Formats: sequence, C-alpha cells, structure tokens
Amino acid sequence: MRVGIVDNDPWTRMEDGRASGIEVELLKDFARELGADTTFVPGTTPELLQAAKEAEVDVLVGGFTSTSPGVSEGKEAGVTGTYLTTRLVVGVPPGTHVFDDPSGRKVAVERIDATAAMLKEEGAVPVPVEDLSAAEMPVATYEWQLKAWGFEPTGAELPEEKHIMAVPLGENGWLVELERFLRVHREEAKELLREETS
Amino acid sequence: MGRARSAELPPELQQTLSKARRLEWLTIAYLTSAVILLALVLGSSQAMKTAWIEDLLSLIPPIAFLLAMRFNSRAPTARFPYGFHRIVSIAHLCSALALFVMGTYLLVESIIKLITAEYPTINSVELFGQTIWLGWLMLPALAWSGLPAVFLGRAKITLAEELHNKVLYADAKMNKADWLTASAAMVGVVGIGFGLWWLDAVAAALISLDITKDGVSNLRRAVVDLMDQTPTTIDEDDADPLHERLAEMLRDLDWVEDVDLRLREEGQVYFGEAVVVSYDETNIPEKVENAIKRARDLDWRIYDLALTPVRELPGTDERTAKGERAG
Repeated sequence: MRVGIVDNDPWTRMEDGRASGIEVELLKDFARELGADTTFVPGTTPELLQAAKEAEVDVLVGGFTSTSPGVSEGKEAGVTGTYLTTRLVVGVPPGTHVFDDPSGRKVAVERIDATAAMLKEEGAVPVPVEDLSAAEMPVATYEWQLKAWGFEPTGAELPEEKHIMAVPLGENGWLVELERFLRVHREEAKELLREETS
Repeated sequence: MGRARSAELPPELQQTLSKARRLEWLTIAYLTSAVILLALVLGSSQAMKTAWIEDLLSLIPPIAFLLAMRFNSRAPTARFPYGFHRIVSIAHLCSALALFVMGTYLLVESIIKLITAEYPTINSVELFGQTIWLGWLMLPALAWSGLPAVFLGRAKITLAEELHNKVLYADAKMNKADWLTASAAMVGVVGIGFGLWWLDAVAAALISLDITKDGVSNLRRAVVDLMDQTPTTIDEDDADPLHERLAEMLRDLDWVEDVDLRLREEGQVYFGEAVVVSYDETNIPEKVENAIKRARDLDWRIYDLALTPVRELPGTDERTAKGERAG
C-alpha cells in the first residue's frame, strides 16, 4: 500500500524519512489488517493528487477536512466520508477575563493554517506563537489541551472540522474497504488524537 | 360575436378535469417523494444526478397544468378581452424550455465526463451497523422514481386526450417514459459497481438525450401553437378533423354558398373566424346567430367563433396560393 502524505501535524508528519501522526498510525493498522506493506510518499497536495490520478499512490492523507481545497470536492480524488469530527475551542490563560465573542481579539495559534483561517472568519486575529501552552493570550486548541494547561475555555467555539482521507478516483471497492476500516476504528482515531496532542 | 362563456368545458368533461387535477396533485406528491429519496442517496454518479434532475424537472408540467387550470377559464375582462385561455400554451412553452435547456446542459456535461474520463467515485454509508456501498442503495430509490410514474402517465394520457390539453399530454408522456430513465441510471450505477466507469457517463448521456428530445418536440409544438397554427390533434401532428367538420357544417347551411374558415388553438379551446358568402341576404343577423350556436354545439372546443357574411370571399386566391406553395 502506497500512502501519499502531506505534512500536517498532528495528523501527518515526515521526519528523517519516517512517517508518523494520527492518520499514519491508522493506515499502518489498516495495512496490517490487509496483510500489506506500507510505503509513504511525501509530497504536496497537488503533487500527490496527480500521483493518485496516475495510480501511483493508493491513499492520500494530510489532515484533510471536508473544506480542504482540491481534495474535499472529490473532483481530483475520491474522498472518504468523515471518519472523525473535531472542534477547536478558544481558551484564556488562568486568571484572565473569559469572553464569548472572539472578534477583534488576538488568539494564539501554532502556525498560520486552516485554524487561523477559521479564526479570521470569526473576526479574531490569529497570532503564531512558539508554545501554545505558555501563551499569554487566548489560544485556539482542543478542549482537553486547555484543561491540561489550566486554561479557561471560553464560549467561543470554532466550526467543526470533518476529517477525511482520499483515494484515487473510481476506486470504489477500495474506498468502501477503507471507509469500513475507519468506521470500525473511530474510537482509536479519537484516542490517537488525544495522545498526539497531550 | 361569439363572446366567450366563462367555463371552457362541458359538464361531462368537468369531471374529467377534476380527475386530471387530482392525478396531477398525486404526481406532485409522488415526484416530491422520489426527489427526496434520490437526494438522500445522491452520490457522484452522473447518471444518478441526471435522473434526479429529470425528476425535479418533471415537477414543472404538473405545476404548470394546475396553475394554468386556475386561470384559463376566467371570464374575459376589459383588459384581456380574449380571456385567459392561452395561459395553457404559455405553461406548455415554459415547461418545454426548461426541459430543453436542462437536457442540453446535462448532455454536454456527461459528454465532457466521458471525454475527460472522470471516474465516478461513490462512498459507502453505515446502515444498521453495516457498511453499505451507496450505489446499491441507489437502485431501490431509482426503482421508486421510475415504476409508479408509468401508471400515473398511463392514467393521465387518456384524460389529456379527452381534455385536449397539451400540457397534460406532454406531462403524461414524460411520466410514461420515466422507467427508461430509471433503468438507464440503474445500469450506470451497477456499471460503476463493476468498475465500468464509462457506463455511468453513457447512461447519463442517454437520459439527457431523452430529456432534450422531450424538450425539443414540446418546444416546437408550443411555439407553433402560439404562432396560431391551425389546430392539431393532441397525439399526432395532423390537422384536427374538427376544422373540416365545421367548414362542412357551415357550407351545408341552406343560405351559405361558400365558406372560408380559419381556426387557432388558445390552450385547450379553439378561436376562429368564418367568412361566408350567402345566397340569400334576408334575415342575416338571425342566420348568423343560429350558425354560431350550431357551431358551438358541434364540439365544446369550438369556443369563440366570429362569423362574417360577405358578398365575395376576400383574398381567398392569394391565401390558398401561398398555402400551397408552403405545403
């Protein structure tokens, strides 16, 4: 099984030629179940979509969600149904004022990505910081992380993110098999996300 | 002269009309259920999408029919001295245009899919704890969208003939052909299931071809009706024999020497003018009134006839000559 992988921590990571991350772990389990070997092909989304078209990769992962441009439309690759739904919450450092409306406020993020885009959508100003847990301003992250860091969750929730994977177009039987696996291992995916982010 | 009566239909056909109305309401309810059902299982199959859009479009003719039937029998007003009969033809034109435009669009889309070899990919869903390929669920939904329609279409086609209503007729014919659409879409979906991706696009192209064909033939008929073509029978494109019967009846009147008659369709009824040359010029008003009454008694579709007595038929030669050249 050849897996196209786009770097997107914590879902997918390539470090020194070794793949890791939530989706990588899930697919390794899937391959084990199928009795297949796994090879990982790193690349960018457009590169790997092209590879999928030419049937050079069998699965494509990279923390894609139902709004990821290029992938979610299902035009360049077939996409699975949602295998995991997550939601980020804005939290404030202990002892600071709790608010419901994030608009006009600076909110710390790890980097400028889809999360930052969602914050902007809500009117907030995303600020990339080195270490979220040490930020001295509101942060956007998962609820359990806020708890672990002693942050106070606010009423400001970001839109749900529906996580998906992709397969080459027209691979209907393969897609159904992957979807079946992901359905059965829904809890495992949640577990992995918690491990990765705590 | 023959100023319109407010109700178009004779009493015995009023019942047929209420039956047609009921069937059209039933059609709307049924099609809505089919549209919802198909929407629930709509994946990325082009054939499926085309069948779905066809069902959506099939909603237009019954709605057009019911709307037109609300207005067409209204009494003429000062502003609309000819009444509102033509609203049926306009409804016909609108539904034909919708069919034609949508059919062409879908045809182009499926051909593009065929050329670019876009492989349709259909997901699975979880049903009762089981993962089922959505394609299999599409099949019963398509069957529901195709089979009952045939019976509705059959029932409506007889009513359409009795009512001489072309909107109802077009609608009934579309329903009757629905099983073809549904089975083509099923073949497309099963094709995807067996890895024959092109079968989907081919099925979609066939369905859209059928929609386009319906659109073109209806468009043509609606346009020629609005251009005051001489009345035609509802199923074929032949001239309605009623025209000849009426001319014959007028010619047979003992005071009439010659007749020039022209009729046009206004929705389900006919309007027209007859110019007659008379042997005998006494009591003309009574004779004309009597002739109009007899014309109306001939058939309910002869609705508004103007009868003009003259000494000589005007421009007959000219008109016949042109008609012959065109024919």
